[in-house]
Amino acid sequence: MNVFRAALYKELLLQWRTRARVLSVVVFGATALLLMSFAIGPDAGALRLHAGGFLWLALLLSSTLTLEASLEAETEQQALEGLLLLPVPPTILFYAKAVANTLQLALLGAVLVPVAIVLYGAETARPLALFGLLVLGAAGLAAPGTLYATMTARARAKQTLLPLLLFPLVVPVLIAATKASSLLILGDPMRQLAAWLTLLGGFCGIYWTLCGLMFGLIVED
Amino acid sequence: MSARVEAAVVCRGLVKRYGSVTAVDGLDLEVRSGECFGMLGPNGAGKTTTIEILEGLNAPDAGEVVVLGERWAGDGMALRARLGIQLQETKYPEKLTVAETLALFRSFYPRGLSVAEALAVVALQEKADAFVRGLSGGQRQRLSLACALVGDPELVFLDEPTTGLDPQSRRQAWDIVEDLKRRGRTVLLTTHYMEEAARLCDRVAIVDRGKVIALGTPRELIASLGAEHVVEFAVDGTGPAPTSQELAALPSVQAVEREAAAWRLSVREVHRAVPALLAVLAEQGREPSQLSVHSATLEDVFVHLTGRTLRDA
Repeated sequence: MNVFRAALYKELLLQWRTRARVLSVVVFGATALLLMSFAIGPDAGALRLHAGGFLWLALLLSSTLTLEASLEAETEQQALEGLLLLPVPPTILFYAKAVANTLQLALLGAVLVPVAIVLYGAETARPLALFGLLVLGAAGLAAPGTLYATMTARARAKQTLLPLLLFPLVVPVLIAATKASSLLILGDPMRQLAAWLTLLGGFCGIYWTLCGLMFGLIVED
Repeated sequence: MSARVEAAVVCRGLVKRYGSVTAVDGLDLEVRSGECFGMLGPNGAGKTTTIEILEGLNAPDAGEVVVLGERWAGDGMALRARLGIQLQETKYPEKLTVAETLALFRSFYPRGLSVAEALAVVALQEKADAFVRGLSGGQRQRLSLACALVGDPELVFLDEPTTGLDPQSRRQAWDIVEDLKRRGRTVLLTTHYMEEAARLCDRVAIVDRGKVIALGTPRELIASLGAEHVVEFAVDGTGPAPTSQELAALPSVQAVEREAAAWRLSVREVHRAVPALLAVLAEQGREPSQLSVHSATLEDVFVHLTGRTLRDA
């Protein structure tokens, strides 16, 4: 547990010290939301109807930037090989990185929500539930994202490869998160939210388990 | 600390192939506890592959490896906690400070030095709060050494620890290794700097083409040449050149090697060999365009054994 805590502290510290880069990602996400709102036009009903989907689309696009950056230190020289020399399972280091990425993405989502409220009228009566959903959805993106960012870390075309690999895999997470967000924004008369959250949680569980197991194998290769 | 074993590292008949290339070809090695053992050889000799096998990073195709009395099996975490490994180049997060980096590495080991102690070992106290990005090459290398030592390892692997360092940083790294020796730690060092091996290593294995071709203390290896000095010369101009037989017949000359236009004579007594050499050249109407004399080194041992220098091997 000490190792996990130390590794997580290091990840969070590095994220804090590179916060200028996070700002550019926030601007990127907000710009994406702005452009999509222009594409829909001034129809307030349509904007509100699609707010959940566009929020997660902006988060997904922004996530590739943050995930790739989180592996930057490990991509150069022998840093990945160096992980194998440590007397700790690489899985612990993976989980520390994935948790840090989850927090960063959730925070990014929390910053984008007010932008979505302004542009799409995406107010919700349950803001805490929406934040919980952001954390869960961010976790669903962060685990496979961290794994794929590791896999593509040494590839020359990593900027292209990461979204190519990540986007198809996280479709179930995006569908569940989008649907749950829409239910929180538009209302949930049929009480479907729990089912979508369960689906999202289920995929998160699968991703976090499999990605943790696979990380060690990938580092060894 | 685990029970101390007589041999810190034993490997027998180590073989590693990459396709048709045999990187390690039946290599035998034994590193005694408490000694500084050097593996010397040119690039491509099989040093790094051997070290990777000993570190548990790579599995051999054949042969047996025992490190600190244990074999690599499973995840090897218990054994890894007893090792300190410094890679040739390691990248640390640029935006962590030196102390934060060491604290992170310290958290990986069940026991070891405090951050302050590790900083003191590598004399980086004044840089404790400096970001890694602000360190010079030598300071980064010392940080890398500190990270390898922070778990207070019984066995330390140092892979070319001074490559690319300026002379002052190199001497600082040597001081750290000598301090490790004084504290009874076993050090396995790879290098292609002969001076470094001669100064630091209790015993040296010269590796070439995946095999140990010579093993002993630096003094023993140099003595195996049968000559304490090396005379190197070249002649220019035209005319009859001295033959190997003529040179071998000179007083005190033990061996003669030719490398392009230059000759290399292993001699016991310089004051007898050099005048005789100059006399032979004068008889042939030639003068040396280059003439140098130096004490025999491990480089000369390598040249003697392989006919190549470490740089061009």
